[in-house]
Amino acid sequence: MGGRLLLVCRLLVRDLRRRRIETVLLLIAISAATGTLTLGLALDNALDGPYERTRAATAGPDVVAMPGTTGPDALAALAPLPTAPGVTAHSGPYPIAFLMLTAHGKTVQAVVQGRDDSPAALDRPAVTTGAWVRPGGVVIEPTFANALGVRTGDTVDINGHRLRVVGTAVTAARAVYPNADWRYDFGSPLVQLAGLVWVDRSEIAALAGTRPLSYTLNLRLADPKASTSFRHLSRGGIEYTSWKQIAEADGRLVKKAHLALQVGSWLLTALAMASVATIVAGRVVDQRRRVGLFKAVGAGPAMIAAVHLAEYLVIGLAAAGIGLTAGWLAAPALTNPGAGLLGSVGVHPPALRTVVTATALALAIAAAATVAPVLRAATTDTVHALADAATPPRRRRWRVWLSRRLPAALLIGVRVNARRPRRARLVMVNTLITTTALAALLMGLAQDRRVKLGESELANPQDTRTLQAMLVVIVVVCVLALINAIVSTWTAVLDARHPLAVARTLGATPAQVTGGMAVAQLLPATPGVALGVPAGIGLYLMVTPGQPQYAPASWMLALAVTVLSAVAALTAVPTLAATRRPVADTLRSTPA
Amino acid sequence: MTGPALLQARRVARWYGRGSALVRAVDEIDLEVPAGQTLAIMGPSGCGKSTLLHLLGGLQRPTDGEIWLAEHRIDTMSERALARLRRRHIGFVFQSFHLMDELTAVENVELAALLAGQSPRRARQRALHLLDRVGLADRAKHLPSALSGGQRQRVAIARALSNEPLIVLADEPTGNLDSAATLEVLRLFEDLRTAGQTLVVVTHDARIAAIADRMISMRDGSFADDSRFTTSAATGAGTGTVYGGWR
Amino acid sequence: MQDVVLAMLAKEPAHGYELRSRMRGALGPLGDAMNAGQIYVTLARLAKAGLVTSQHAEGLPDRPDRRVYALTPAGQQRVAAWLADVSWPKPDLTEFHLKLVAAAAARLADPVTLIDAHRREVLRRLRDSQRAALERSVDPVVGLLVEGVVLRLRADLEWLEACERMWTERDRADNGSAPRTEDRGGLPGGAA
Ligand SMILES: Nc1ncnc2c1ncn2[C@@H]1O[C@H](COP(=O)(O)OP(=O)(O)O)[C@@H](O)[C@H]1O
Ligand SMILES: [Mg+2]
Repeated sequence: MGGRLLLVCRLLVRDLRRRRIETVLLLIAISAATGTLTLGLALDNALDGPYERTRAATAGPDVVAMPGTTGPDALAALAPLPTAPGVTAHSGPYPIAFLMLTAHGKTVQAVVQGRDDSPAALDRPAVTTGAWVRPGGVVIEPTFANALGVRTGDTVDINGHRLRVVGTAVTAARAVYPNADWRYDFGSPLVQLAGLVWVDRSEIAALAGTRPLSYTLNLRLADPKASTSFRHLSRGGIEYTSWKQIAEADGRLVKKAHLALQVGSWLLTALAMASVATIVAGRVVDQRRRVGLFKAVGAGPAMIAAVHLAEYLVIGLAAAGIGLTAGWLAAPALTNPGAGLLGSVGVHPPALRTVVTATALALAIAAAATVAPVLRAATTDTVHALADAATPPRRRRWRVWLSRRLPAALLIGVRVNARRPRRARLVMVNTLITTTALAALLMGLAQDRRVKLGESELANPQDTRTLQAMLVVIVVVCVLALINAIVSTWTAVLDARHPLAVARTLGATPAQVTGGMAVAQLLPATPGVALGVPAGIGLYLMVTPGQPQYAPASWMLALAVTVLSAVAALTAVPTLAATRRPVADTLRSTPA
Repeated sequence: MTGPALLQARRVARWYGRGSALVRAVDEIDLEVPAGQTLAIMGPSGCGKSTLLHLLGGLQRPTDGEIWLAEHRIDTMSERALARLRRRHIGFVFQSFHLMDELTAVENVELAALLAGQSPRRARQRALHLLDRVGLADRAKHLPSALSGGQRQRVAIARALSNEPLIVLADEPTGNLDSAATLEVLRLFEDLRTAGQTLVVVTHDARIAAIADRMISMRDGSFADDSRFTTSAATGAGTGTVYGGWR
Repeated sequence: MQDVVLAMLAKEPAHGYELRSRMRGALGPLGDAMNAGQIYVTLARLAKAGLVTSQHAEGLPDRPDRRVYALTPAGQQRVAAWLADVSWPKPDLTEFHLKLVAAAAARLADPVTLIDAHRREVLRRLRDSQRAALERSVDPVVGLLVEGVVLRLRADLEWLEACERMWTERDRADNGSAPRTEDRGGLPGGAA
C-alpha cells in the first residue's frame, strides 16, 4: 500500500512540476469561482450583519413612533407611550422636520432631527467622523454625505440657513439614504426619498421656519416578538416603524449587489468549469498514452483514476484556499463603505458554512471537469491508448464537402475544427458565458442610476453598489475568459501545428494558415456571441424587478465585435509565432 | 512438445470491422509456448503480429477462441483480474519504449513493483539490481530524455522484468533502434534466454532469429511456418551455433 | 584470395603460418571455414606466376609452412593495382530470378516453394551471422565484417519477401481467373 501511495504522490508532484503553467492556470480558474462564491456568501452576512452591529452599538430602538400631527398635538399624542404596558425603555420625543438641504448647488430633501448632548436610553447615533451636533453645526448620515459630496468642515444650507458640517454619524433608528422617508406633510402617506441629518435641538424650530415640526419617540418593548411581528403600522394617528423595516430598507442597499454577485458566481462557476475542462482536455490527450502504459504494467482502473484525480483534487483544494482568502479579503470593499451603518471591525474568519461551500465548489469543479475525461481514458482500450492515436476525428461528409468549396483560410479552419469537435464546443461555451456577462453589465450601465430628491438628482447608492458588484464579477469573468481563450487557442495551435505545417508544405502561406486558425476559433465563437447577447439581456431582465431601460444596440454590436476580434487576435498571435518556425522543424518535432 | 505449455492459444481469432471492410487480423491461430522457450513471431508489417501479442497479453480480447496462461483462461477474465495478472505475471516491451518522461530510469523500473504493492524499499532495491543487469546502473537517476534509444529500451526491458514475470511479451523491440542499439537489446534477450526466461517477440526484424529457439512466420493473420532451432549454449567461438535444421 | 595474400606480404616477408593466422584473426568467426592448406596452395600458385619468392629458413626442415615468402616487383605492382580497383562484387540475383520465371512458365515447380526454401537458407545464415555478432568478445574490426554480412543477408531476405508477395499474388490471380478466361474463350464471337 505504501508503495502505491508513494507512486501516486510521486506522479502527482512530478506532473505538477512539469506543467507549471497549466497548474497555475487551473489554480486561477478554480480560485476565481470560489472567490466569487465566497464574496457572495460574505454579502449574505452583510445584509444583516452591519445593521445588527449598528443597532447594538447605538442602542437602537425596537419601534419608532411618529404621530401624524404636529407641534404640541404630536407631543400630546406621544405622551402616554413611554408608560404603556410592555414598554421597557424609551428616548425622545425628538423634534423632526422635513426640509430642503442645499449643498454644492444641489437642493435635495432632508429629514432633519433635533438632538442634544443629553444621554439617551435608546438611539445614541455613533459618530463616524468629526463630532456630535452643537449649535450652528449639522451632522449628516454618511451615505447621504457621500452622495452629496460633502465632508466635515463644508457648509450646507438648510431651508435658507447656513450650517457647518461638524461630523457624520450612523443610527439604527432610521433607514439610511435614500430611504429616510421624507414627506411633504406629516401624516401624508406619500413617502419620498431623502437623507437624514441631525442639528442642535435648540435650533430646529428656527431652521424649520414655517414648515411644520413633529416628534419621534424611540421605544424598547419587553416582548421581542411584539417588534418583529410587524414592519409598519398606523394606529391611533401614530405611525409605528419596527426595526425590521429599517433593517430591510438598509439591506436593500446591498441586496441587488448580492444578487449580482450570486448570478455572477454561477456564471463564473460555469466559466471556471469550461476553463478547467479546456485545460484538462489538453492534458488528457497527453495522458492517454500514460493510461495505456499503466494498464500494460497491470494497474487497475481504480489506480489509474486515483493517479489522475489526486492531482486535480490537490489543485482544487489549493484553489479553494486561495479563493476563500481572496473573497474574504475583498468582501469589506463591497459591504462596508458608507453603508450608513457600522462596518465590521477587523477581519473575522470566514464562517464554517462559507468554507465548506467554497471548498465543495472547488472540488466539484475540479472533479466535474476531470472525471469524465479521466474515466474515458481509464476505460479506453489499452491498445488504443498505447498507440497514442487521438480518437480519430469523425469525418463529416458535409464538412468535407463544404471545405472543398471554401477559400484556403476557411478550408483550413473548418478542417481544424472537424478534428476536435469537443474543443470547438468549449470555445463556444466560453464566448457564450463571457458575452452573457458583458451584455448584462452593459444593461446595468445603461440604467439611470440617479435618484431624484426634490429638485436635484443624486447618485443612488444602491445602483452604485450593484454596479460595483457587477464590475467585480466582470473583471473576474474577463480574466477567466482570457485565460480560457489563451489556453484553448494555444492548445489548438499546438495541436494543429502538424496539419498546418503540412498545409504549408502544400503551399499555404503563413497568412492563410493564421487566417485559418482564426477562422477555426471564430466559427464556434460566433454562435456563442450571438446567443450571449440576448442571454445577457434576458439575465438582467430576469433578476431586475421593474422596467429597466435597454442598452443601445450599438453597445451590443460593439460588444460582439470586441469579443470576436479578441478571439481572433488571441489566435493569430500564437499561430504567427508557430509559423515563424521553419516547416521542417515543426514536421520533425511533432508526431503525425 | 515437452512439458506443459505456459501459454496456450486455441483457435484465437480477432477481427476488425465488418462486411466488406472485415479484416481478419488474427485468423484462428493455435499456439503453445512451453516455459523457457524464446519464440520469435515474424512477418511483414500488417500481418497481425501486434494484434496477436496483445491478445496473448490480455490487452485485447479475441473475437473467438481461448487463451490460457499458466492454467488461467485469460480471454474471459474480468478487467480487474487481467490487470492483476499483468502486473504479476506478464512483462511488456514495446517498440516505442513507453517510459514515463517525468520519472527517472529507476523510478520507471520500480513502477510495476510499486503497483503490485511491494514496499518502496524492496522495489527500489530490485529496480537497481535490474538496471545493473541491463548494464545501466550508472544511469539510474537519469530521465528518459537523457538516454539513448537503446538505453531506453533496456530500461523498458528492466521494467518488464521487475515483477519476475512468467512471460515477457515484446512487440518490435528493435523497431526504433539503430544497429548498435539493436545489438544491445539482442544481447540482453540472449541473456534472458540462457537464464530460462519465457519470451515471445513479434517483429519483422529478421535479426531476432539470432536469439530464438523457435521461429514462426506469420502471413495475413495465420502461421505459415513453424521452425525450431537447437542452439548450444552461447559460449561457442565463432559462429558458435549448431544449426539444427528445419522441421 | 590471391590478392589478399599478396597484400599481406607487402609490408614484410612472412611465414605461411603467420599469414594464415593473420587472416583468421581478421575474419573472426568467419575465418573458421577457411581450409588450412588453402593458403599454401595459393602461395604455390603465386610463386609459379612469379609474384612471390620463397626462401628456406636455416636449420629447419624444408616444408611449405617453414618457408619465408616475399613479394617480387611484379607482385608489388599487382598489389597497387588491386588497391586501386573499384569493382564491387555483384550479388547474382539474375539467375535466381530467371529460375523462378522458368519454373513458373514451365510449371516445373511452385515459385513460392522455391522462394521459401531460399528464404530459410538465408535466414539460417543470417541467424548464424547475427549470433556471431552477439558475442561480446568479438573484436570491433571483425564485428564490422559481420555487420556487413548481416546487412547483405537482410537485404536478400527483404528481396525474397518481395518475390514471395509477387509470386503468391500471381498464383492467386492465375487460379482465380483461369476458368473465366476459358468461358469467355468459349463464347462465339466473344471479342465484344
Ligand atoms: N483498431 C483496428 N481497427 C481496424 N483494423 C485494425 C485495427 N488494428 C489493427 N488493424 C488491422 O489488423 C491488421 C493487423 O494489424 P497489426 O496486428 O497491427 O499488424 P502488425 O503488428 O503485424 O504490423 C492490419 O491489417 C491492421 O490494419
Ligand atoms: Mg505491429
